[in-house]
Amino acid sequence: MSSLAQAATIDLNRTERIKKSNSVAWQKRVLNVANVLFILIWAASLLPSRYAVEMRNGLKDFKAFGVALIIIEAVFIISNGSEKRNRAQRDIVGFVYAFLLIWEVGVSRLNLLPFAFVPAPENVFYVFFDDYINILEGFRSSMILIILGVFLALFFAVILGTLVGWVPRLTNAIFPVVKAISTVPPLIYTSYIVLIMPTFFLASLTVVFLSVFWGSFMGSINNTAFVEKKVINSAKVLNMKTLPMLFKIIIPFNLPRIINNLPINLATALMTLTAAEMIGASSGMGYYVRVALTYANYTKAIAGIIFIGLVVSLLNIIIEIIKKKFVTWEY
Amino acid sequence: MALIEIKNLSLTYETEKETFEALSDINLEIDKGEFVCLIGPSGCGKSTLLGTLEGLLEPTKGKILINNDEIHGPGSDRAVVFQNYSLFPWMSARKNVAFAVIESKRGYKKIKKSEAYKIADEFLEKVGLSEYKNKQPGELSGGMQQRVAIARALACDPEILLMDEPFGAIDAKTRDVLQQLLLKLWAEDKEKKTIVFVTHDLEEAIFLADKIVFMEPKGIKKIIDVNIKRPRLKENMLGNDRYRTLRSQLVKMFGNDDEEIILTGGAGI
Repeated sequence: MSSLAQAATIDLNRTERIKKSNSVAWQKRVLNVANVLFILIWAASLLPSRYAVEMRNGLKDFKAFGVALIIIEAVFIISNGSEKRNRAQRDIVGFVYAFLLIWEVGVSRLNLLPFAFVPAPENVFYVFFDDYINILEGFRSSMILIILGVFLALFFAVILGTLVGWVPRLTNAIFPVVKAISTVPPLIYTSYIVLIMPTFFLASLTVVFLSVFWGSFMGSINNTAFVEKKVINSAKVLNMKTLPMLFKIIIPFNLPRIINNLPINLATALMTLTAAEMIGASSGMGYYVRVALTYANYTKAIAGIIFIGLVVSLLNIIIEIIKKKFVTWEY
Repeated sequence: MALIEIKNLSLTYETEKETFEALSDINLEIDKGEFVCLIGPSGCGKSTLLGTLEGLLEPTKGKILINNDEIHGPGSDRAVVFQNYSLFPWMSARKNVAFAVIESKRGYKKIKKSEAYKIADEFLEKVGLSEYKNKQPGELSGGMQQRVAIARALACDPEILLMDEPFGAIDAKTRDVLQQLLLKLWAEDKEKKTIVFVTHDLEEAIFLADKIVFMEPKGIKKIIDVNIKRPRLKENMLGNDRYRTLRSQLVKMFGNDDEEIILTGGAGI
């Protein structure tokens, strides 16, 4: 009897505690620095603008900037993880808002910086409304090149690297050479490749391919040469031939490392591609920024840069998801 | 006639700087269905000797005959249990076993996937891991991983089971359980497998083996018949006179200087 009552009280206490911790969590999620900054940005937008008064082409409507803010806030509120992750998220969003607030107040409202070079956030975000066709076209053509280039580079790098790493004589002969080549930044020969290739598509593909290939090739040789000996021995005692050994044992074993390196590879590819696009291209995200810079349209240039940043972040998030799903072990 | 015949076997490691003779002129015969333990101080070449039986190491001189055929490289007549981390980490326990069943018979016999998985399930049940069959090695404890490794080796249905310090990295209590399990699985087979088991643990050797091959650097010092009745139970061992005599005899053979090595062990090469 008494134990039952006790159990009931404990249960009650527990639900109360959960309720309490829930309400605390809710308070933290609503009342935090990030959200205060969020409101401050909106409040600032109501102040009179010196930028609009002093600049010829004036201040664009707040709506694009507002939509961007609402999207950030929505993602921020919807995503909910562990307490540690939430805190990190609050900090990140807080920083972003702080930056946007300074930008909004310093440029749009007080016009403290030379307006010809530092456009207002309203105008920058308005570009996404105004010019989204060109931006998306650039996105499409850059993405095709990056995904195709990275895929081809990894495909050949992993297969060739595994073969070379498996045969000690090949490793000894090729590894030093590859090591030397892979230290040369692809940016250096980018303009040369753009020059010698018949089309810009092929040139960019080659540039992206080379920017990822050498490093991954070297990594693959290295990975293969140093696969855990016991795993190899257990495969060897199953009397596996060389090719099944490479494709069923070595490559699966190295797969997590390959996926772990993907963000670096994508970043390198994007960097090289945008650089290549700035030398000679007719579309692409880098091209978009270059054209904007050429015409001294810094509003568009900054919008393009922000867009590239967003794309890279998005790619990294996708890779994280792939990693969680497919890499369930770590050696 | 013996199942395994090791004849005048020598093995020399060659590095750039020096050559090192690990085994010198070894002769040993192992009968069918026999449980043999190789024991000796670290660096005596017991793991090297097992490596030549596995087919992973090529002898410099001499040869090994199994069923009167000289061996070159690994074969489906042998399966190996290594010390640890030998499972394929990206495969579930079940897949690990099934994969080994299919691969080890490749070229001799075509085994369907469904059949291999059935065999895998059967052997994982034998080692008591049915519940964990879909877990990956990283999610299993060291002892469980070794159970999977044993299941994997037995599922390939080899004539000879080679075990290279399989319980060396496992805590004492789990080791006792696994030793009992191994003996049980070995005894319940219709046609008993021949087991060659490398260990640095004297008590493990006496408990498991029919015959103990005591090695000294490069060669065999002595071959000792254990002569303890089966089935053996771990808890009865200390009360067994033969066990105690053997134990003190073996400790003496290791020599007092080496006692530390016996107790702490060493993985050897």
